[in-house]
Amino acid sequence: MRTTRYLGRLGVALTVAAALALSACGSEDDDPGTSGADTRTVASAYGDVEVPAQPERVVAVSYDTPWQLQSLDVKPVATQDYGTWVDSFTPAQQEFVKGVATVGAFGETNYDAIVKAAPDLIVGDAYEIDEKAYERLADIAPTVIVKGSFRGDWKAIMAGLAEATGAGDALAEREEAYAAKVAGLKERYADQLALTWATVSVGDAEAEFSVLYPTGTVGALLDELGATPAPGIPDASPEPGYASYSFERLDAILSTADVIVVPANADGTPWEPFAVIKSNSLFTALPAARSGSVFELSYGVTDYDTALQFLDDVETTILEPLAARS
Amino acid sequence: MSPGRTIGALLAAVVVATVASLCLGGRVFSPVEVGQALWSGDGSSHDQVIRDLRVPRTIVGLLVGAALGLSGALMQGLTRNPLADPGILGVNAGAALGVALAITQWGIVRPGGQVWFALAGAALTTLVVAVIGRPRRSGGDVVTLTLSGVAVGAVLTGITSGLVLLHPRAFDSMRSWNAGSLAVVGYDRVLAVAPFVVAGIVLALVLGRSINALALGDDTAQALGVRLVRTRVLALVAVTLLCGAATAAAGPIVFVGLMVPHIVAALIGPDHRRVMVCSLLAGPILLLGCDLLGRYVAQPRELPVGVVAAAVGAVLLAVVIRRRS
Repeated sequence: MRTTRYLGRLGVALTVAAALALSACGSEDDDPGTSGADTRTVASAYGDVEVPAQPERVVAVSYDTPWQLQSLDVKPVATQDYGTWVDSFTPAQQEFVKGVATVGAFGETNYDAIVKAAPDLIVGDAYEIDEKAYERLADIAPTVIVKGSFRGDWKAIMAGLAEATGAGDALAEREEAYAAKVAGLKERYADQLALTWATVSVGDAEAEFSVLYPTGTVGALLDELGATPAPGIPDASPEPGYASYSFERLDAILSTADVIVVPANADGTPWEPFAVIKSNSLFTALPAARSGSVFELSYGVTDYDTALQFLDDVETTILEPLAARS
Repeated sequence: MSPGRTIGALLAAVVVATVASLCLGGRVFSPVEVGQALWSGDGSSHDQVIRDLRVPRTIVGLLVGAALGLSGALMQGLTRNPLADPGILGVNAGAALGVALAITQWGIVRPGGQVWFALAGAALTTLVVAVIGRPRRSGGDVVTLTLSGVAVGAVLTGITSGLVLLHPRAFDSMRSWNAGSLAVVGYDRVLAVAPFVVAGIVLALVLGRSINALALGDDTAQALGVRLVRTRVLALVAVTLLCGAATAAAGPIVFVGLMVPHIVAALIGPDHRRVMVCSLLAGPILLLGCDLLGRYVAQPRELPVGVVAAAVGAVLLAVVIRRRS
């Protein structure tokens, strides 16, 4: 490992020295193949890594990584095996990984399959790949494992992936589109966002439901939009991004919400596990349910593309209908 | 304390635990309010919480506590093994695998369908553990049976986890059930499991005298007129009914079946028939007590009873061991 890195760094040093020497000679006929470095150094969760300047065979070893690469216009040569879970992704995502080689299911990394994929870069998420797994991967090819400040911190993870794969332009383009979308919604729907909102899902027990907080992906998105949280929601910053509460508190917590967001499948159809809560008489008696202000959204946000899709859905499913009422 | 007084005290404690379970939690109601909601409710959210959440939750607690307490006492008497417990001997894990198979392979989500799979899983596991852990010499081998139960239970739990992870639908359906919780909505689960728990209780109590004789050793039991094979088979049927139904109702809950008979025996002595009757009453007290604790320790959230029972059970087990040594 150390030898490889040392040789890698030596290679960079020699290439830079050669480039300087060439420019010193005053050559005006710079060949792109020789003037740029063949490798770049990027920061990762487990230290600096030498990666190819333009990687061509990227293997994604974490669960959300393929969608983040998709959002950077980088096509991986191998991903995790999603098996029957693949149905829970959007048609575009399913199409993206169709026919792509697989390297084992979640939690069961198949290192032989990774070798077979002949990667020139391996990328993943530090919440799934620990240092021991990283070292095994780094023996196969340059490996960049990125880390956000919390699980599902897709913006930070995508920034790291963009640096590793050299997809800075695609990232800048998406960041710009995202910022413009958020700003546009905030401006157009200020009145609707000033209503009180609660985003919920299933709970940890049959007679429980959960509230999504800004410490999770969807909670953070609505928070960034400026949606006002319902005052009945207990103060908390739960690490997994949600807190589960008994049905007994459903009335007290959610009766203060003008707008309730509930989960849907990626294709927009109702998510079956939530049906038990949605049809419960305590839920149907809530003011938001009686005024038709319970809205279904897919919570599958992992990257800029799915975040933009989520914001589009928020606009068409919730904000436009609410604005039309006033 | 005389047996009559002990049973009377336990009955009173069951009543207190039941009333407390109906009145306390995320919302606090007086016993009068509970009575009004049940007899003359107007369908307000207040009444719905009592009728659709508190009452079924309390009934599940009573049924599961009774089933686990009694089956633990029955297994300990039957195997002459103080570590016999539906959790430790893998029976609950077998029932859980049955439910996982019902959901993943046949898409059965209704409790009325799941209970049959839980019973089949419990029955098969009981048989497998009994065969692997059968004593090689007369007098029984406590360690072999216990270890075979732990081993079989670990394998079955692993298979259940694998099934759940590979099937998105099962993952969603079993996520909450796996922790062991009494928090149910409505009466589907209560109605699905109650007949099996009642049948198991009746069968176990009928066998009480024979189990008592078995505790004295096979030869003595035979001399007292006990038909060994019939008694053992019927006792295993009772254990299967009780554990399978309890697991289908509330998910896997450990320690209750182990602890309750030990605590009861420490109070009233080793007569197995009395231990069984008292465990039947003490099980619901311990389980409802743990459930109430779970409603308060992490407010405004709740801890599932399975987690609280494991923590409380571990402490009680340590106390019992210290007292014995």
